[in-house]
Amino acid sequence: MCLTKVFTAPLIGISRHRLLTDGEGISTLVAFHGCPLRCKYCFNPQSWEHEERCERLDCATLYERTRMDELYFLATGGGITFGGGEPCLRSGFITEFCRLCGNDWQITVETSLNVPQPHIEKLLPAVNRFIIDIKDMNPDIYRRYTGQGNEQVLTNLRLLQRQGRAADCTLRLPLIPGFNTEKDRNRSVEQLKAEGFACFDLFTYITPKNQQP
Amino acid sequence: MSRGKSTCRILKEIRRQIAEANDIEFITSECRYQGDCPGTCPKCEAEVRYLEEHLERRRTAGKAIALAGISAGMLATSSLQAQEPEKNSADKTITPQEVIAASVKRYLKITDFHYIEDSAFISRKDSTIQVLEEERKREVEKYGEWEPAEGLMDEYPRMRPVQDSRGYFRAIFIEPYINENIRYPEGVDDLEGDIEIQFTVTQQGKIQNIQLKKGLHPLLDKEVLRMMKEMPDWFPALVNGIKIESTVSMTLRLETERATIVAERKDLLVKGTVSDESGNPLIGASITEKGTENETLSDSSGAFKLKVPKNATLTVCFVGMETQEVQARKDTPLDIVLRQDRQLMGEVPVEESCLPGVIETMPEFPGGIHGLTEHLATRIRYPEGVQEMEGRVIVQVTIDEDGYVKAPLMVKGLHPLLDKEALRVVSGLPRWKPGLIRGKPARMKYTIPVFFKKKETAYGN
Repeated sequence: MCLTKVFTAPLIGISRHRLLTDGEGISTLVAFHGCPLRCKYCFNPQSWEHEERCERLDCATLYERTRMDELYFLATGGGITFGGGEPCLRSGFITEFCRLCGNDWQITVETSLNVPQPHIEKLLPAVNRFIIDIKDMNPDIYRRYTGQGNEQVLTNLRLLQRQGRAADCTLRLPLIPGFNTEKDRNRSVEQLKAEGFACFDLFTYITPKNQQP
Repeated sequence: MSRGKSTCRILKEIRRQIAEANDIEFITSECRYQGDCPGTCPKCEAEVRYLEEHLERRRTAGKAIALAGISAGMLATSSLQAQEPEKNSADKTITPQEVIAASVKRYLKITDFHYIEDSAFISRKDSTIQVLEEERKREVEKYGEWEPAEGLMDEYPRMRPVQDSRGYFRAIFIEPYINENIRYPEGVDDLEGDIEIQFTVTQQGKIQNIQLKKGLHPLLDKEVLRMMKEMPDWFPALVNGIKIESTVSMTLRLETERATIVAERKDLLVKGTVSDESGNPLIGASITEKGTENETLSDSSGAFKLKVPKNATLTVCFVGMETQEVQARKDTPLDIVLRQDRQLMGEVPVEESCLPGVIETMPEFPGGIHGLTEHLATRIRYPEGVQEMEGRVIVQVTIDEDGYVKAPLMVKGLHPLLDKEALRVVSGLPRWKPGLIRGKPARMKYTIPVFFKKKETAYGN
């Protein structure tokens, strides 16, 4: 038997049959544990606690579990959306997974891009679409909301742009109650347009009342 | 319709399109899964496996497979979910076919097959090599083509090919053999699960020491053991090309699928588009052959295709639009324009105390929506003096916990005499099956449209 390195990753969930909610066609969302950010209104806070409770899967097992929907993926141009948590921290796992599933599945990552650049470089050939949670381009707002700086995000955005992948990116620009305003957001849009990006997803975070500052 | 059910419908439509594009007879049956079904219930999964199997057969036969992006148009817009047409009838299956038979299909799938390692396995390797080699030569002479290829000297035990009447050897594989030879006992119709057995394949290829490690149902277990005992001889396992005795563990998974076998009815292929009054295409509008469950949804350009018999009537509906009926025709495409409807049909406003998200089952008239239609049609009498009037009266009723019609209320009237007649008929409706919230009968409001049409026909929709 030939032994190769086996990538495993802790998952907080697998959600099948998502229609256009994250990416093209019918997709299966695979959500990883672990995230460098601590967003105030985090949607999946379980991604930064209790890793030991997560199911740990290797690529082959994940492929087995998701392959049952291959017909739907192929018929609708869908595939796997890796989310989380921060999926780009699992670039080895995702690359290995893409080797298993071949070129016909649409691979999307839903990422903050706030990860070391080598991860993004590794993912470039494997991923078809990047859904990027920009939050806000203003570093102060970003830091206040996520607890981290956004220099790494900008570096990685430029990498994607330089590699000619700007058209494969959807940039998410939320209105974050208590953190940014319409004005801030317009400024972010202008800045990103100047960088060569064109596809934006503008929406407002829905926040539980008790968390509103 | 819950979000899950609408996903279920879309997935079913995709399956139908895949089957149609590849000339596969589509097997479907009504989804009986209660509650939120995002297309993951065993029946829907079984339909996917069925399609996969048939696509694989086409591929093996060297035929072309149409798959990539064939349903992409259906999902080309992110607003599809919001525009998904709501229906007040029970979840309908999309069947452009005629039912020819209903059956329970059962299949035993080998989910695990492995050696039980033991010392015998190793010790046989070098003890009687010469004897075994002689035997092997004879085997090669007899079943030459089935011997392992050079370099592939280690093999699992497997079934011997059999000689048919013309003298040709035919390979026998375990899984098909099991499924051809098992005789399902009575009373195991709804069974699903695993059976684990262990047996020894001797050096001579005899099946011995058959043991049941995990049973599923006493009658079925007995049958599996019988079938194993009566199995013809195998080829023994090979190590370095030498036959050895091996013990094998095999897990069989019983899959049961209640299927309705249907055949395509290729009478008339109707094509057309659905748009609103300003000419915008309506995506996800439902086009149904009237009185049947034969249905399709319009795609991202509002276009649709549906196979129907000649002279069929199509019902076109879309949430927020007036339902329209058109005659099916073949030669020219149908361009259907739907008008906006201020009054949603069959909408179910829930009691104030309930949230819309928690309705689990809507009240149901005996015989369903068609039953209600017929009931109203046979009981409505045109009052004197207004025979020339046509239109729709909307009555809201409360169906209480016991299924009785209470508090009929005129929501949209037409003429005092017609309104009175509509209220009379609705008040006299027989007992319904009450709506359920969290599994318990609950009061719910229900809106009933009552149609008045000239001639003798008057019916609710």
